[in-house]
Amino acid sequence: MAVSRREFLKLMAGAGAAGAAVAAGAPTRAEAHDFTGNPDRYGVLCDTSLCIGCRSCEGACNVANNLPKPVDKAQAFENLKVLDTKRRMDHAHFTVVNKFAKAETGRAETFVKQQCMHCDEPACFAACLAKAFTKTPEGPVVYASDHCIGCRYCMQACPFYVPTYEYQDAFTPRVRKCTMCYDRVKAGGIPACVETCPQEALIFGKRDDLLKIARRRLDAENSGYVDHIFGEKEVGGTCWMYISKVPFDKLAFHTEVGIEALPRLTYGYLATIPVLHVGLPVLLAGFYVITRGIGKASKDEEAHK
Amino acid sequence: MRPGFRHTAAPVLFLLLFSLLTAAVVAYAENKEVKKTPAPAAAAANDMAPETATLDSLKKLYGPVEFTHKAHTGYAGDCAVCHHHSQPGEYFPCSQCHSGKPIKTAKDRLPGLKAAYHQQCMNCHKTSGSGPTGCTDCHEKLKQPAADKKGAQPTTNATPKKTEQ
Repeated sequence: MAVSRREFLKLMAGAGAAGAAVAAGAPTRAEAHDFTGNPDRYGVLCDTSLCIGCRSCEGACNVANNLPKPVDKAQAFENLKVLDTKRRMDHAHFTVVNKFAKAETGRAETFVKQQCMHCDEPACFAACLAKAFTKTPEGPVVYASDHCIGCRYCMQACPFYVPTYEYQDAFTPRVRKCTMCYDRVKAGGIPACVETCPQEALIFGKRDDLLKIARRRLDAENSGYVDHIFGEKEVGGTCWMYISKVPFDKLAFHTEVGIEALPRLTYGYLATIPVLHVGLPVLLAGFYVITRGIGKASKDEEAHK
Repeated sequence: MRPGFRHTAAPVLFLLLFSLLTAAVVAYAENKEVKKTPAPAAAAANDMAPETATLDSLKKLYGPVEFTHKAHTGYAGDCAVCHHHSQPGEYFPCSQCHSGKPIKTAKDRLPGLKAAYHQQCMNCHKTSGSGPTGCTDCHEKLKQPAADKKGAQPTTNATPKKTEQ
């Protein structure tokens, strides 16, 4: 079909406007780099040199989250024999305390509490296809099972191997992990584990304050602390941080995770999808539709000659 | 019976009983004295320190602690080891400075009362290798809420008194 010059220019303007709209919609790389997070977000500082391995935190977590109660003495939180083996979180245990003997640490016997790190830029949140995770402004990363499709990409993405799954539930399995007692925090309280710790090895407060407190302890003369706050910069910063008098690699910390926030590894590519895989095909299809008539008209004239 | 026996048997029996009783009393007293001797270094301060202290300010989950204060003056040697960060002669109870609230902001410098007790006790027990380190070694777990708890009421004065030199 023949297109007049005026109509062609109108179509081009329309296509250009559509392209600009798509490009404006796609977030730019600069925004990701500027992410600083809510400055008032809370966090928890864990001082492993104070932990005595009493497991009160595990007990408090169990009660606060309505987790399955221990059925016998072996499972009871008073049983400290379980500390002789290294444990991991599971669907019924959002947090575990592990013991590292003198022989393992090279220094004092140390206990380390493990739970979700509540990263500032969580990999689970970025990997989730269904937006089941939310990084709340208060700091905790929370999971809502309403949107979850059970793909468990979050479990693969987490650099700390945190999310666990209810494999035993066939019909309504959920991803399970520490919530930093988000309900209690939102109501002005503190997480159950922090409240119950008899040694105040856990401190809950604004993340900026916790960094100051940690720095003060590290800088105190002859304090004996390793000069590093784990979680200050790891994977772009986490809300749960640790200080220790024993090198972190001796305490099975994931020291290899680096300081780059994990969502940024894929963000570059993902950001191009709206432009490259939606906008461009639409634009090019538009060009094709508009221009396919041009050659055809002259071919018809040739044929008729 | 031979005449005159009654006159000699009674006093003899009486003397025998009396000497036995005396021996028993002396032996008991000696025994008690031996147990009572404190470590020489803390002998002077020991006289001022109360025998025991009942630590029951945090009642919810666990019963009160019957803290053997006097025995610990022997272990510590110097009062200032536990009654720290104060002038010589000032022996405040822990709660005087450790207000009870845990650290929350960068302005808070002191641990709360619960942490002050545990850190003070546990650190020494751990480093010295002796002394209870388990939870129920010091305080029984309450099976019921604190209000219904049956059992021993504190019999001694709750906290050591401030002394002056």
